[in-house]
Parts: sequence; structure tokens; C-alpha cells
Amino acid sequence: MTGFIIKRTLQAIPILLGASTLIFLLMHAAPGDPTSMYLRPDIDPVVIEQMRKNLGLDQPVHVQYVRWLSSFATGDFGYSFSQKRPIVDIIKDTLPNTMLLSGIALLVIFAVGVVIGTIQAVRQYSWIDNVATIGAFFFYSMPSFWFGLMLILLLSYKLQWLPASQMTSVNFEFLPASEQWLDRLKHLLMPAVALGIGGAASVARYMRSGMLEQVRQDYVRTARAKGLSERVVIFKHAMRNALIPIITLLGLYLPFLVGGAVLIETIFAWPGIGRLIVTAIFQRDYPVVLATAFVSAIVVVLGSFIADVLYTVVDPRVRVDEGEA
Amino acid sequence: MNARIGIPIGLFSLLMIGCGGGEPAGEGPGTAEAPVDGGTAVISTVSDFDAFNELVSTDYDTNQTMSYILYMNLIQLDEDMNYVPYLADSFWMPEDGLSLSFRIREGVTWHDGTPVTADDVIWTYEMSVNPDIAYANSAYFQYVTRAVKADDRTVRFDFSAAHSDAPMDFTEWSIMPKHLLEGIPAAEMRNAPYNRNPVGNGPFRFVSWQSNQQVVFEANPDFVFGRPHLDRIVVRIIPEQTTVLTELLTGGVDFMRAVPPAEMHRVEESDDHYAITYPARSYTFLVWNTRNPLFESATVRRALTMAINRQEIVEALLYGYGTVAVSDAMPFQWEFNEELEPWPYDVEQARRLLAEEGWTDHDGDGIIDKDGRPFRFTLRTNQGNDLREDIVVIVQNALQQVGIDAQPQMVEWNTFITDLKDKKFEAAVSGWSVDFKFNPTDTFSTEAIEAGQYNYPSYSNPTADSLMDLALSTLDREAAKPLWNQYSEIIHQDQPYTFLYYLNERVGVNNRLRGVEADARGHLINAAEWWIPEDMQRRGAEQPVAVAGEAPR
Repeated sequence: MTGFIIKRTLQAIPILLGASTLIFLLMHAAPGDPTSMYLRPDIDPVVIEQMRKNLGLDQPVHVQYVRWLSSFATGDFGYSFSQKRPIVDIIKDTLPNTMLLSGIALLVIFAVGVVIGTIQAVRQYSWIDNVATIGAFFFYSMPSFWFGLMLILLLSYKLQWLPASQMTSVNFEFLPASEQWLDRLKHLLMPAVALGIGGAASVARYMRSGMLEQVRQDYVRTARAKGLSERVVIFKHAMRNALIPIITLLGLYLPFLVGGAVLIETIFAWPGIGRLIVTAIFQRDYPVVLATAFVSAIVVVLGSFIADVLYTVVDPRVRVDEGEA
Repeated sequence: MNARIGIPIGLFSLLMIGCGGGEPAGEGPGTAEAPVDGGTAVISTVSDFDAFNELVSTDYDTNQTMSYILYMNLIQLDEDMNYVPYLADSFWMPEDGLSLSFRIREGVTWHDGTPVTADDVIWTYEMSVNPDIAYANSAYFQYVTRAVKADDRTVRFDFSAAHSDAPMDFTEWSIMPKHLLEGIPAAEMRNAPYNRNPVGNGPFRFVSWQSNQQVVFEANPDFVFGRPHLDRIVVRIIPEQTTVLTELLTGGVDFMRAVPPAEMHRVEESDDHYAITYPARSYTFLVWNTRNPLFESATVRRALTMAINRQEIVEALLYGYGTVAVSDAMPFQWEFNEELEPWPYDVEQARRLLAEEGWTDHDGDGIIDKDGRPFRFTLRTNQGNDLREDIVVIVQNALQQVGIDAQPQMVEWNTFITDLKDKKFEAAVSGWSVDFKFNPTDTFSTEAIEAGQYNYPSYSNPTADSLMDLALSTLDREAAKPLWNQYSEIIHQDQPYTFLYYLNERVGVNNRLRGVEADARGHLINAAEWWIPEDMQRRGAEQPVAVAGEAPR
């Protein structure tokens, strides 16, 4: 296992370096720079030139790249052009918020997806299966931002049950601890559902077909023939095998949940890393774009790593330290 | 002169954020009641602040918040654009107009208790002109040669030349506390921790800033004009307009700026809210490249203006929240020529004028032509600005009626701007956000035709040039007024731009928030006087107060 981790870590280095370099070049190839926002005839061009100099943008691109890479390698992400503070602080502020939202959304995706998919497989062609199938296609096809706006329209605007934006209410700090918890939950519910529902629908489809495949296998017939209860047959035998492809999905969903939250975070004013990336791209805040892209790349690598490890948990036949996993 | 930038707002659109003008508009219900202290007002904004430091901030909203909530500027403008004392209790200028002195009001302290002195003003000036700082509004001080400390409370700014409206440059310039910032090297000022943890001297004190979430201010009990009514102002950052509107209508937010014109009816129809509109500090125009043979004749440009129904643009695209523009001066500026009427929408007259200039459809292909050249050009604007893209379509249709073929072209923002500055375009829809001080030299003077400068149309008129120069060096507003009237008459005749509209800013306010005034000067001008009736104040959980229309939270 240790060997596997070391190997994967070494493999990750060129991937991360390549991704960062590519993004660096793309950002600098995009027209304009942070100072091109200052479109006011009365701003002295000398001032703008000085601003560019202060930000190091007057240097040739390759010099900027080497500078950036060397400070990056020593763990110094630098300062944000727009927020004017260390990027490490910004990521510390935003990443946990995104993790919270994504974590709950991930829970929605897999809990709801697996449960619905299993029910559908066990009750194949029943009305419940048909309704769930139609529902799954509907939610899978709907863009998450549209669904988010509909949730706001219904639950915030019409029914006034849930707050439409932000992580906490204005009077949060004056609430007793018990109610603070509830306040957070209320703010979390809509964005998490909006973010997770599409994924849940797709997981349900995978789970349904996986389960259907398994229940037709000989070992399931054997288990039934042994006289095991249906519960044990489904949950202990069939489900465990049906979960293997789902685990692959889990690995794929991890990075999606960092990048995929961009629109949801914007709609619900959630102060996460997705919104940070979008704002930074618009403002040509190069160091922030690079740092956040780097963090995302790490999550991608980590996601596929976790998926590989999880295989061994659900499938004893897979051993990571025996060659390619 | 305020060099605040327009940042991208909404998801994918670039709009200039503007604010401003004219009569102080609308007040809340029940203004007859006596104001009471207490309560929290929640304001929304679409993007985060940048830095609460005059020397490094480049953001319009941050500037407004600094000028009216956190800090005190030396002087302010009243609703008629006259200067009134604020941090300075008096200011004076000798008859030759070669200096301007300010005396700081007695008893003003920074929020940490340190008195505000002449040293703070002089230090802020010195940093503002320090090249390493790259202060965005350094143009405020283009005439200032030095700042002299006359005594502990008096500062004199010496000018290199007399110029019009000199005090204007000091109305949006916030003084910074020298004792907290002087140790910071100029080149590192933009990353100073102070920027996110400021100490002001204005009506509200800074409490906390959670990035991309909210900024909290609380009443300054020692404010020199007396404690403001509100206990707290919370500015919540919510990027998506639909979400903000929902928060406004359900009581989560009390004050929303830039309500989309199409959604204003929701605010106006609501029993629990009221709407305020006021002139924004921006105008939108069509620019004609006068170096292009198609547009070199002023008569042709006038015909183009007449062929476009600008009132229709205001009605259809702005839902009436705007007025047809007539010149580069805005109606709230004293330089504005009240006599001027927009050219009428008159397709027949437009056709006649074009024919007079030799533009008729000689070859019968539906496009007018002259010397074998058809009247065909590309009409550009920046991609992603839905409003401007719609304008392009309307203009294209309108010009078709007079046999002109305008071909729309949407261009990426930075390319768009660079090409405008380099005069590599035929015609374009663009806009300016403007300052209180009217100064057309950057946009219409012959000097500014040079590549990289802002005279997009390459407009050159020696009479206009000398009128600008003369008016800008005339100290007395009354003496300068006829010069500006003459100038705007020339621009009106020459039509280097087809002026489209002056935008109106739209604000939605919850009934609980009383005493709100907003005009061209901004949306926070009297934040210190806002108040909330006691039975409508938000409380902590100990006493949740249900207000009509508010979601239980």
C-alpha cells in the first residue's frame, strides 16, 4: 500500500505541473490584464503602468512564469491582485465552505442515488420504478443552476421556508448555539440539493442497472437457494457487487464537486472556491486562478486515488499493491 | 475624476456600475415620524469590496462606502452640486485661485480615539501622489504643487494654475490615518492588513469582513455630528440578481441597488417595499469613426441620429428607466445645457439629409450608395453585454429603414476597448461613467485623437477645443456656463456620438428602512440618517420580530 501511495504521488507531480503551466499560459494568452478594467479616460496611463509594475506584469511572460513557479514550489501562493491579501488565507476561507457544501451534496448524490436505484431494481417495472426513471431523466437533464433558481422561487419566494442566499442569517451571531446549527442547516439545504440532485439521478441509473445485473447472477440464485432472506441476498450479496462501479463514480464526482459548484455558489451567494475561481478569471487575478486551479488539480488526483483505494474495500479481488490498480 | 472601475456583475455580463444625480429622490413611508435609534439595515451588493483604503481601492462601491459610512471626506456636495463642509468645517480660496485651504473640524477623532489632524491630510496627499502607490485618482492632484501645514488643523494646497471647480477634486477623496499607515512602504500599501481592518472617522465603525459574504459596520457613538440612528449596517455580497431580488422581497435584504429594469414592477407593486430612482452617473452612445469616409460629414451623422428612435430604446430596453441623452454633460452637472433638445426621431428628414450629401440608392439594391460605395459598415459592441447587444439590433433595424446596412459584430471586451482606443473600428455602441467634474478634453479634444487615447471618434473641432480650455480655466461657474453652453451646441451639431440615453439607477427598499435619500451622488449619501421604527427592528433570537412580508428565519 505504501508503495502504491508513493507511486501515485510521484505520478501526480508531472500532472500538476503540466496543468498549472497550461493554465498559466492560457490566462496570459487571454486578452487584457488586471489593469484593463480601469477604463476611465482620466486615469493617467503612467499610473496604470505603475500598477502593472507593482503587480509584476511589466515583465516578459517567461520571467513571470519562472518567478511564479519558484515561489509556488516553496509553498508561497502570493497575493491576490483583487483581494489584496495572501492567497493561502483566501483558500483557507473558501475551501472549507465548498467542502461543506460539496460534502452534503455528495451525501445527497450517493445516499439518494443508491437507495432509489436499489428500490427500482428490486421493484423493476413497477409504477415506482417508472416514476423514478422519469424523475431521474428529468433531474439529470435539468441544469443545476436552473433547478437552483426554481428552488429559490418556490421555497424562498413563494413559500418563504428557506433563505435564498449566504451561509447564515444576518442575526446569526446573536442566536443561541442550538439555533445557529439550525440556521446553518436551513442555508445549506437548497444549494446542496440543487448541486446534488443531478448526480443523484445519474447514480440511481447506474445503481439500478448494476443491481439488475447482479440479481440475475448465479451466486444470487445460490444464495436464495440456500434459503437466505431476501434482505440478506439483496444487501449483503448483490448490493456489494453492484456498488463497485458506483465507487468509480465517487472518485469522478469529487473533483466535479469543487468545480461543479461554480454556478450554484454564485446563485446562492455561497462563499466557496467555485465563486472565487469565476471572479478571479473575470478580474484576470492570475495568482488566484493558478492557485485555485492547482487546488482543483490536487482534488482530481486525490479523487481517482481514493476511488482506487475504495475498490479494495468493496472488492477483495482487487489488491492495489499487486500491479496496476 | 473618480476613477472607480466598472467590474463585471451578474454572471457573464460586463456593465459599468454607475450611480447618481439630480433631485434627491423618494423617501420611505411615514417620514413624519420622529427617527429612533437602533436596528440593523441590510444592504446588498453584487461583488465584494476591494480595500477600505483610499490609496489602493479602485472600486466604485468601496469608494461610496468609504465616503459616506467609514470615513469623512474634507468637503461634500449637496443635492445642487454646491460644496458643503464635512471633515473640514471651512475652506477658502484666494481670488487668484492659486490655492485652496481646509480647516479640519474640531473634535473629530479616528475610531481608535486619535484626533484627526492636518498631518493626516498632508500624509494622505503625499501618498496619493507617490508614484509607487499608483493611486488611481492621482489626477485629482494634477494642479497641486504641494500641501502645506498652516497649523495643526489647517492645510493649504498650492496650485500650479487657476482652474475651474478646484474643490471638486476633494469631494471623493477620503483621508487616511497617518498613525496607522505611515510605517508601510508605498509599494506594499496595496497588501497592507489595514485595508481589510480599517479605522475610519465617519459615522460608522468597521466591525468585520467575511470575504464574499458580508461586511459589518456599527454606529460610531462619538461621530462628530452625533450618533447615527442605525446600530449596524450589514452589507451582504450576493452576485446573482434574482437571488438578491428574492432576498429583498422576502425581507432578508432591506436595500437593493441595480434592480433589473424588467423586475422593478415587483418592487413597485409590493406593499412592503418602495422604489427609488435617480440618474446614474453614466451615459450610453453610438460612436462614429469620423476618419471613415462614411462618417466624415456632420450632416450624415445627424441623419444617422435622426434615423434611430432613441425613445424606443429607453422604453423597450430600459423599461423607461432612462432618458434620451443629448450631450456629454449629464443633466445633474451644472455644465449641462438646459436649452438643448435631442434631435427628433425623423426618418424622412434623415433620408433627405443623406440624399443632400449624395447618399441615394443609385443601383437599386436597397442600400444607399455614393460614388459607387454602398453605405455598409460593421457596428460593434462588447460581447456578453446583453443590453448593448440589443441596442445593436435595434439600431441595425432602424438604419435599414433609411437604406443603410449596419452589420453587427460582438467583440471580446479587451479587444473591443483596445480597438476603440486605436481607432480601428467603424461604429460602436459604448458608454462612459462620468464624474461630477465635467471635462471633455479626454474624449473630444484634438489632443486625445492619438492612438491609445479616448477620443474614439477622432473628433476634432478647433472651436470646441478652445471653448473647453477656456471654460476649464474659468474660476467662476457663472462665467463658465455660457462657454459650456456654446461647447455643447457645437457637439450637438457635430454629433461625433449619437447620444443614446442617460440611465436611471433603481433601488428597492424595505418599508422598515426610513429616511433613505439617493441621487446622483450615490446611494449612501445620508446613511447616517437612516432609521428603523422600533417595532420593525431586527433583533437577535431573544426577540424575533415578524415584519409583514418577511420570511420567518
